[in-house]
Amino acid sequence: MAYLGSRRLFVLLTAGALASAACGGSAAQRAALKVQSQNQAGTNAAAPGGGGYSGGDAGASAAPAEAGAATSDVAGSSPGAGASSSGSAASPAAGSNSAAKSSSAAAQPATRSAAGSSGGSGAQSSGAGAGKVLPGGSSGPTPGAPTPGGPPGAGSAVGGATDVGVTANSIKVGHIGIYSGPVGSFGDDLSYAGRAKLQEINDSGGINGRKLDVLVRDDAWDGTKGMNAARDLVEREHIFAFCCIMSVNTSDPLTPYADEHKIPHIGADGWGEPQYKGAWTFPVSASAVTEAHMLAKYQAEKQGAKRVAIIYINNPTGRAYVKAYEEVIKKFNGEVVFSQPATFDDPGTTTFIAQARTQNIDTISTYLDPGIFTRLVREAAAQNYKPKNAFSGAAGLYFQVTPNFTGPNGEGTIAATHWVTNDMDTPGYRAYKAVVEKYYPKIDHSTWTKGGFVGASIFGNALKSLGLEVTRQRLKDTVDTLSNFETGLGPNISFSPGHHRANKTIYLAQIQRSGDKFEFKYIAGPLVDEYAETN
Amino acid sequence: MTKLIQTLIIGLEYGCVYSLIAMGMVLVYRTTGVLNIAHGGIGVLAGFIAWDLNTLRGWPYFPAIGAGILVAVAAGLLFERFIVRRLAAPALATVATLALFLLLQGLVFVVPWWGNTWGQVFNSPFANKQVAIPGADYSVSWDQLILFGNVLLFFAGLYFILRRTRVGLAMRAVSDDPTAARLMGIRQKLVAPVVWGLAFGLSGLTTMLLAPILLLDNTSLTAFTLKALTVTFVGGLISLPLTVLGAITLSMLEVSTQLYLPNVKGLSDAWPFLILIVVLVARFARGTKALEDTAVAPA
Repeated sequence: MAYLGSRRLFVLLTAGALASAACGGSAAQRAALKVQSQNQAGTNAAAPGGGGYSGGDAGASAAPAEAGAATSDVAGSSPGAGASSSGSAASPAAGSNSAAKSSSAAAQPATRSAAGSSGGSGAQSSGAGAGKVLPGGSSGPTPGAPTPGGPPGAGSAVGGATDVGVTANSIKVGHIGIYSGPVGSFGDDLSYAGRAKLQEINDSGGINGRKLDVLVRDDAWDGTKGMNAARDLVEREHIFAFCCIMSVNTSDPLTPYADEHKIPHIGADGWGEPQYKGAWTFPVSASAVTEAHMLAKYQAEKQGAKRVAIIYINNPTGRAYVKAYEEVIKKFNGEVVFSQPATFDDPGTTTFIAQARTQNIDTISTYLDPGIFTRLVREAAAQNYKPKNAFSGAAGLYFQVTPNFTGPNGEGTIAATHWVTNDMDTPGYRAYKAVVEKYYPKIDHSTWTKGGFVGASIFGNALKSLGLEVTRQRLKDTVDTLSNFETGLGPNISFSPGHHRANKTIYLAQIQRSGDKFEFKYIAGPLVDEYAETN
Repeated sequence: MTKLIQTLIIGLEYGCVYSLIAMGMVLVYRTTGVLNIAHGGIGVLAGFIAWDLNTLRGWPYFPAIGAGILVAVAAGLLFERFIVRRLAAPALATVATLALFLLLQGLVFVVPWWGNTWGQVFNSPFANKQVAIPGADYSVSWDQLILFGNVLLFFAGLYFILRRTRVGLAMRAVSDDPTAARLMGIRQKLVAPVVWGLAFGLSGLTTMLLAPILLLDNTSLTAFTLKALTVTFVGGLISLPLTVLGAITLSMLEVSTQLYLPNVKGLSDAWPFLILIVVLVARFARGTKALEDTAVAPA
């Protein structure tokens, strides 16, 4: 009978693991418990006592709360993990999604209670924040009943609980990052840059006397988990706004949700097209469609590429990348000969290379993460193959670690990025780097670390400009009229109502040999996407 | 014809990977009743230790990977001694292997001198050496050929051990009926460490074989483990030949779908599910009694 019981458990585990993989988790793939000890050390060292920042870390490495500092609050957003109420953390489907979520889920109640000046439950927010109230105004929002749009009640409370998630001394901000799942191993860096900027804001006095209480959740690069986290942050934690979410799989579905609940979503990653359709969502980085446009144009014009094969992560953004590349390459009499979806755990890269070789492809363009891209290039090397114009790819390739992994066969690879490249070493880049590395010294500076930083900067500036009367509607209106925000990282950011495509700029970097190493080097840009939609 | 040869070669390559992992699972299951899903984690441990010795400390390649595999074997022995032996039911030990897997995946970020990164390049001395396949417009690397050779060796070795040696006989006896085996003088406490050491060593070996082809990263084996779990069902969790057959079949289906039906997106990913459903339906249709019977069937 022991065997039978074990056998049944095996069935459950197998089905759960496969289901998890199919849901984009491929689960424990790169879903490690990334213990960012050096990051945490930086965070803790820099965190001032009494700061309102929730400097959490993912997973089992959940940061010990500093005395007086606000709490760590990373919780797995999958059903059964963290604050989400559906299911248990030990559910088979969640089983392979790394211990990080489970551990952080377990840690959540304890860390929440240790909040400093601001971090607390939804109920606590109104209590602590019921400060100065304007004559005739209400004492603040009712916990559990998010107030759409403007300030709650008939009047407006200045300096107190002016809106949901705002107290006299804190503003509750929701942030969803990628701390586990198939790209979790490097996805956390995307989150850390934005969080570094938010922490710096707190360290320099906060927002007109209020500290940012940042509640961090993990989406494992899974939109379903991300939306569970978003709903939890809005409906249970009663956050004021979302900030600098650099996970396309969450930012896309979050856009209509933010509109529905009238919650500002400042500094979205912008990789997915749906984000540009939201009135309350303000993307700062460029779209994958823009990347595809510019890569296709550059490769057709400068490299003479005619026959292209594309391999892509099979999600809506990946499919949009293929379509956009094809649209532009056709204008230059080229064609996408074939395309193939890739997942994190199948032999697709091998068959893809075999086809590309047989079909005499000029260039292989990719919408991949560094892990699958490395496999692809190494597979090509194993098959003694490299396309005439090498490889190209969306910003998913632009990580410092990528050239080290691909080796010589990756030389010549062109990657798109939305900001100045690292090797350009502009003053703005140095300033950004100084802030980020103050808190997270070993971060891999990529497209989205910069995007997160810019998003958090815009968020902080806009909040400061509101003075004491901080409301969702006023924040939205302010960002909606943002003009030429100086990012220091290339494109300036402007928004206007109905036109949130603020970044249509692409820089191109190429993997080149540098001594006995390979590095990304700037080759072109800024290139402005003339094919992009105008919204 | 070119495509057919490519399909066979690539299918065989990935079938070998699935087989290697699945055989390790079958080995542990049929002798202990525990489903060892720690393969991915053990592979990370062994692989990164070998990489450390070779790249950071200048050890020659083969002693380094040998040391990595030995560490994996030692981990297997310790895991059996201090964890498995203390858990009353195989189901509990199965959960323990899951915990070990998750724990070891995070190991790469804990060791400070490993660079806090999820992957490393760990090339073999045979890097950049290929054999062109005539008529296939395709090349196979030496590393892939070595992988294939190792699968054949391990399959033959395991089959021989289980069928022709006293240790194998003891393993099967303990698997079939622990009480009867004890009465016959077979000490389970001596058999179990051999099995766990062998299985963990196999995980280490699999990582060493895959790292030069793909990349040494903290999830090198994870994705393959999920598919290996599926194919173990084809062999009813006990039959090595059927397990290998299931592995080759799955990979051939995946590869042929990608090469011949490139426009049918998603079918390739669905094969493990489809196979699992078919096998489960077929096996459960025979009733639970039959399932219990197959657990003690000969190899």
